[in-house]
Amino acid sequence: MRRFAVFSLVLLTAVLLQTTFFARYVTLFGITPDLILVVVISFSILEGPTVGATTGFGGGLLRDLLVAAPKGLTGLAYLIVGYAIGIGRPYVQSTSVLVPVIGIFVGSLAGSALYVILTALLGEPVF
Amino acid sequence: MYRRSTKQRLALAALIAASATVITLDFRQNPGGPVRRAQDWAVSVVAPLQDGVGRVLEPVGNFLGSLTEIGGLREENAELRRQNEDLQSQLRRYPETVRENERLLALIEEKDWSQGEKRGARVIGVGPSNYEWTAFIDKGKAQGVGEGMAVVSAEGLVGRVVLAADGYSQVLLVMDPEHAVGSRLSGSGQTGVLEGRGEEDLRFDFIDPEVGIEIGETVVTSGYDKGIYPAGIPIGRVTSSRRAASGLQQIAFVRPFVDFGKLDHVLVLLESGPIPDQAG
Repeated sequence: MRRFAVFSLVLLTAVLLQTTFFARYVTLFGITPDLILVVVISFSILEGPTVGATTGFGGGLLRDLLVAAPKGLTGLAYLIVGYAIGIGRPYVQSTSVLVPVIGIFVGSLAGSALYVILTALLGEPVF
Repeated sequence: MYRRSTKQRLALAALIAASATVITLDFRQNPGGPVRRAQDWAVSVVAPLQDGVGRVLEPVGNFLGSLTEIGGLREENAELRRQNEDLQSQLRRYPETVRENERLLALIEEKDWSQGEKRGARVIGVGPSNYEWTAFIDKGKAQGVGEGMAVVSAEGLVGRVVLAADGYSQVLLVMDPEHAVGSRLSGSGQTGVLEGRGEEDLRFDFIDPEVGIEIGETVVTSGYDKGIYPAGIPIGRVTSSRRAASGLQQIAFVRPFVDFGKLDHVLVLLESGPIPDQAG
């Protein structure tokens, strides 16, 4: 239960920082880094697929509720990414710092791609 | 090992089922459905926190922003001085123009949008997505803000309220691809529809192919969208135009007056908003 509270708190903090700071002031080549997805992937690397999928679902859903887009799609996309990264983590033996960096890069790419695909499947205009 | 893996799969299946339920509920719900209530709830919980965190982080963000601006300050200063002189000379003619405008508006029984009741609000956060352009403001239903009301800043049109919670609201910005507004070219008086394209300039569609479009021409709201936006609110300036592939219309591209990266204080026009459909 305490773990659950900690995960929720970190996710909520990520959502707050994302909407007040990152999406407002931090852009790289016109792209805003998605702090929520970064947190989900980090949990998934550290804690395994179940925590990754749960936080992915929770964080994605909260994010969905704060945008005007269809609800639930980001939750689904992030939970799949969280689960997949958690499953893949034990197969990588290295302890290099590059592992989380690459994990976050690949995961963010996969998360955005999944979101776009899911949106397109539901027939919503993406852009 | 075996048991743990089964548990994992069960958790995954349960979460996917939950996602599918949310997506379905959202697609089928009526206004005021369960997902909508959750949305109101999320905004009511997150917005006050945003307000606090934003106050703390705003100076940091402004500092980061100012670092990249120092180089241009001298030029900007000279430019502003020149503009100031221009504006001073225009200002001398202003009182007379206002009187004339009032007389003409009274003549055609049109209401001046800037006269109605307004509510000042602070921007406390922006939407978290790369595909969507929204902002949160610190005024809501409790302060008389309602869905569909127009939001402006000192520079021009900002957008419209799409979700009004108790003390907070969410504003869809002009630049969002979902946003369209009936508009008018100030020079020729041509009307059309102005659509957002994210970070790129807005797109002004349905212009008569015979009309001359001037670069730099001002675009204002036309008031032709069921009354969501009152007529005459400045939106932006034409940056380029071209003929559509069909040759049946022209398209102009418009840069908004409002700098959405630096949005800070806005005004909600309390007397705007969609006119309800007349039954029968």
